[in-house]
Order: sequence, then C-alpha cells, then structure tokens
Amino acid sequence: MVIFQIAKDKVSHDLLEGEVIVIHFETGNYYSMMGTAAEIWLKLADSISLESLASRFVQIDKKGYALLQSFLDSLKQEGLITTSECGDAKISSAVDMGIFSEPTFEKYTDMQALLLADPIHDVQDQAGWPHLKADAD
Amino acid sequence: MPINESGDVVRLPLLRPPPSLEEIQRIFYRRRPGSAHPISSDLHLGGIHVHVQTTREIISNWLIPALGRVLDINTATGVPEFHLSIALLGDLMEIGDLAFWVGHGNKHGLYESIQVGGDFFVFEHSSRFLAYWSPCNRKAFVCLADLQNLAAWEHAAPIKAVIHGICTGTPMQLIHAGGVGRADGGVLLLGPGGSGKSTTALACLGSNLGYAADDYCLVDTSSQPVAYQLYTTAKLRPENIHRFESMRTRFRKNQGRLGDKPTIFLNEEDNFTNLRSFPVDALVLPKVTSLVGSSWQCCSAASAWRALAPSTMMQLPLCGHETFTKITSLTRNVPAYELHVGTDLSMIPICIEEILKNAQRSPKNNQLAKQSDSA
Repeated sequence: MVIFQIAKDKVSHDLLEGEVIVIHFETGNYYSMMGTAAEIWLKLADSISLESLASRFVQIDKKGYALLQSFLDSLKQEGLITTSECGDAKISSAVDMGIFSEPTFEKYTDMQALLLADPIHDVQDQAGWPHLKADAD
Repeated sequence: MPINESGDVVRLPLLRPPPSLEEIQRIFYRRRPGSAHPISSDLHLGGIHVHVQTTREIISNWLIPALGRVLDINTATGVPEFHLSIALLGDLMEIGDLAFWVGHGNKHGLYESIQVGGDFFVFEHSSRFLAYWSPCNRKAFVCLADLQNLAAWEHAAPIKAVIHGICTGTPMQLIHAGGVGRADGGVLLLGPGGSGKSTTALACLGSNLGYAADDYCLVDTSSQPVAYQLYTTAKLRPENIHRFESMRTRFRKNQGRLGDKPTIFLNEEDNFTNLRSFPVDALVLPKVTSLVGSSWQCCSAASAWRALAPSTMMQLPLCGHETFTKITSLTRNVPAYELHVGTDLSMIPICIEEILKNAQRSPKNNQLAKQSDSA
C-alpha cells in the first residue's frame, strides 16, 4: 500500500482561520488550500494511504476518488508530499471529514523568480534588488 | 558550476571541511590591517545585546548612517549575548581558507550558504562579503573585500543576514515590514516591494504617529508581539519622490555599487517622531491606488501571512521551520487590515489611527492582553 506524507524537510505549513498555508523552501513557491483540500492536507501530516483518506469522507463516489488521487499526484509533483510503501497499513474506520468536493490549491510563484534571479544582471537599474526587470526569468 | 544532462546544477563535494571557529579567528585577525585600530560598540537588537568590534571607517561609512539609532559607539558595556567582528580583508576569493566552499553551497537569492554542525557560513554574491556565525559560541564574523564593493541595498540595510543569524534560536525575527505608530501601540506595514510600505511610512512623518521603519523591523514574536526599530533609512522609487516634495533634495542616489532606490537616512533628520519600539496592534497591507482618498478594511490572517512570510523568507539566508513558525504566530495573533493608499498623503495617518482604534477592540488583541496579564 502507498502511504502519502508531507515532505517535512522541504515544506512548512500551518492552518490560519480555516486556510492552510504551505511554503516550499527550495522553490520559493507557496500555496493556499481551503475546504476539502485543507482537510486532506491536515490528514497528510500523519501519513495516510489513498484508501484510508477516501474512507474518512462522509460521501465520496468513483469520480471523487479519481479527483482525490489526482490531487495527491499534483501535490507530489509540486514536491510538497512524498510516498513510501507500507505492506500492512490499516484503513481507518473513522469518518471525520465532510462531503467530498473537488480539492484544489492556489499556487504563488512570485518568489521563485526572486530566488533564481541574478542579483546583478536581472534587477531593475533604478530600483535594484529585489525588484526584477520585467523580462527577467 | 557543472551541469548534468537534465540541466540540473551538480554540486561538487567539498574536498576538505570548512574552517573551524579557531581557524576563522586566526585568519581574521592575521589578515585584518594592522593600521585599522578596532573600536567597540553595542548593537541593540531588541532585547539582544551584541558587542561589535570593527574599525572607525566601517562604523562611520557603513553602520552608523543606517543603524545609528541602535548602535552605541565606544560603550561596550555589560555582558553581551553575542560578539560580532567586522573587518576589511581584501579580495575574499583569494582567502581560500575562508571562501573555498563558495560555488558548492545552497544558492538562495542573494546568498549562498552552508551549515557545518551548528555553525553557518554565508556568502553574499552582489556585495561579495562573507559572514560566519556560531550560535553556540555566540560569535559572528563579517569579512568584506572593501566598502566600495557593497551594493547600494547593503548601505540602506547593513548586515541583515548576520542579524537574522544572531536572532536564530530566540523569539526575535527580522521581518520585511515597515512600522509606524506610538510607544503604546503601532502597526506593521507588510507587502512586497512596490506595494506602498515606504509611501505609507513616510506619509506619517510630521503626523501624530512615530516612524520606526519602511522596510525591515525586528519583532519579538513571543506572547504579545513587540516591534523594534533597526534601520532608520527609507527608500522610494524615483517616480514617487515628487510626492514628498519637502524631502526631495535629501534622497541620495546609488550610494553603493549596483542600482537601488534613492535612499534617505532619517537619523540625520530631526523633524520626525522616532519610534524605537511598539506593541504590534495591527498588521497593515498597503495597496497603492489612483484614487485621491485612502480607505481600509479587515483582511484574513492568511492574506497577512502571504504579504509577509514569503518575501521575508526569500530575502534572508537559511530560513526554515523556525522562521516560518515565528511569522505564522505573528499573523495568527494580530488582526490584519488592507489599506488602500490614495494620492492625498494626509489621509494615510488618519486611516492608520482608525485602524489602531479598531484593532484595540479586536478579540485577538484582547486575548493577548489577557494572556499577558495572567503571565
């Protein structure tokens, strides 16, 4: 069974007034999650399988299961979570999340440009660091 | 640096370990010019007392213009929490024993860093200075090639990487924020460059509100947050200087190498109420508009976090869970507001006064006050 967990060495996260905020230290990208996505993220803090995660929703259909899988894939692609194999993980019988709705996250990439910029050549002549030229990648 | 077939940078392993504290001290004192007689001073980082040993040239031409309000020259009193030595050592890349790791470290914006045990090395690529700090030995060193090599932003906000390092392991945090208010309560101004932090802070000069900072503050994030002034400089985009006609002639252009916004060194200016510290009653996110009037509204803690945490963490080296936790605690505990900054600057301090009044009634501040009373 595949277990999903937060990439704790590269990521910090917290819950602020119902909104999960996440930052990836290496890429500089940061994320916001609300509703179902926030609930899923908080469960990932304890390491959990897809099956166990799905079973915790009051109601989830086949399409929802696929959306959940796709969401976890996206988080993994962003480097926010990792996976590991666990042979005999138990599936929790607790139902402690609401009705499933499509989980999404908002991604902010403005700091990535700052991190990767050349502080000498990519900054505005007049404003200097950390103000990047409009055409700086 | 070598690149692999996938286009990723390949970091070469270090062939020898970085120098120890003893080796660094030996190199530092051996190469320090004999004619440069060191003088001692006290740097006050909120509650953290740092004993600084450096030359009169560095004090006068680099530190005092921006750090004059928190640096007492020739005092060196009491028992400091940290010792900081700063010297001009010539071309650092020639000092192989100190800088041989540069190119192998973790690149992070302006900085490249490595951590060896509990000690930290940071190289600043634009100004080409090297900083080392050892939290357990309570010692830090800054080695510069020369003052002419410093980027302009290092004149406006000197040694912020080292200050960030000295605050590690304490409740203090250097943050990317301005600050205005009164000794019994003020606001932090949050947002990326160009959002209006400096315009808002400078608009309060000459009002009933004191000025602490336009770009960087130190904040004690424990219990009830308290902000401390650090740099008394202010920077404006050239196209905004006309909004501050009375100060126009005092903005200096490009004091250092490389470009930067014109800077005003406010410790030369007496006509403002200087604010050394204040309890943080509100977090304010300025947004410049083309309207004449200014207005404000409440906003979420997550909005305040987005305006503060990423830009702080990406501008400083070696930020991780600790910095994240301190900033998140600040944004959780203090009410946040959006300030829509109009062209009539006289409206800005009035809006901030209104925000302060509103924030003092906020459940968040009342909760903190109760915790503070019971403690």
